Amino acid sequence: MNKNEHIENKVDEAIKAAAHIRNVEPPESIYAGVMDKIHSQDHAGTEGINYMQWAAIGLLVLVNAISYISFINSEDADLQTSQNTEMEIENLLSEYQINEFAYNEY
Amino acid sequence: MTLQPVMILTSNHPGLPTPNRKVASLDEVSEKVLINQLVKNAEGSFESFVQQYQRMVFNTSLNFLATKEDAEEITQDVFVEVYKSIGSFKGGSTLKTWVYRITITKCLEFLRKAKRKKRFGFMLSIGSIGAAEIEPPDLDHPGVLAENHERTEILYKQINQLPDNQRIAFTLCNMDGMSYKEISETMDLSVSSVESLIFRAKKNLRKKLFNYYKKI
Repeated sequence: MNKNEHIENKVDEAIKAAAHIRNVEPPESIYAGVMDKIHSQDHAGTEGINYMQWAAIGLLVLVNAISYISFINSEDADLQTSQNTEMEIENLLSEYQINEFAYNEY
Repeated sequence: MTLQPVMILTSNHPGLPTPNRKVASLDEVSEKVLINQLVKNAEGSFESFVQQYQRMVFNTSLNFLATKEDAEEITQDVFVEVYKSIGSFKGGSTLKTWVYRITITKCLEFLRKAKRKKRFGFMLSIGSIGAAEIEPPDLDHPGVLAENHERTEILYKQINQLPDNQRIAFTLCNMDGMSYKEISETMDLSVSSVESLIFRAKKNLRKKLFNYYKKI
């Protein structure tokens, strides 16, 4: 028997070995294990919902805080703008009054 | 309410080589009754279902994973999945085929995760000298005869390298002892496609095994 034939025999034996695998009894603890997993997943699911709820509340608070801050900032900016405009008008007015006074004097 | 004994296991001798594991197919009415009871979560129905299907699920998982511990884990996961999804079972196939499909999917998912772990372990070993590479566990299949242990271990190493479809067809046919028709129903393929898959799987295995034995 040459080397290749010897290898071919080994290959045949390995493939045949698959058909000789026997059926075995499952462990007795399968059902208990399944129920443990179901209960632990239920528990984890509840925790998950709480966690998600907290995350949603946190996000809501954050969004509200950001919009409030931007609202305050825009209010400040508006106030500043209106104050500046008032000052400009006052300046113009006083300038006009000075000019008018000067004109009258002249 | 308790589940009526609508399912019967065939009395196969545990010492016989495969094919030796069958869950008797239920007639349509009995299957509908069982599914109905499972959906309603009737007292004792799920336990009875697990008792009657666990042998099939455990042995199929064992044949895919080759480790008793992993097979037990996957068997539990399969029944958890059945418990969660029975309400969405449309009856497009038999309950047995549906359970087979879940089992195979779970086994393949497990094997993919194990492969990813192995890759990650390999990267770690490159990153830090001396870090141990995560090797797949050795064969721990109680159904393998002692005199066949070594060659079966070698066979499993080569099966692990087959494409998924070939691997499923080969395992179900040669290890689970399913007929081509049963495999075609489980894989949702034609019988001729299953024949072709098994032919290619054997051809690939022969090639891989030949190369393996040639090197040693």
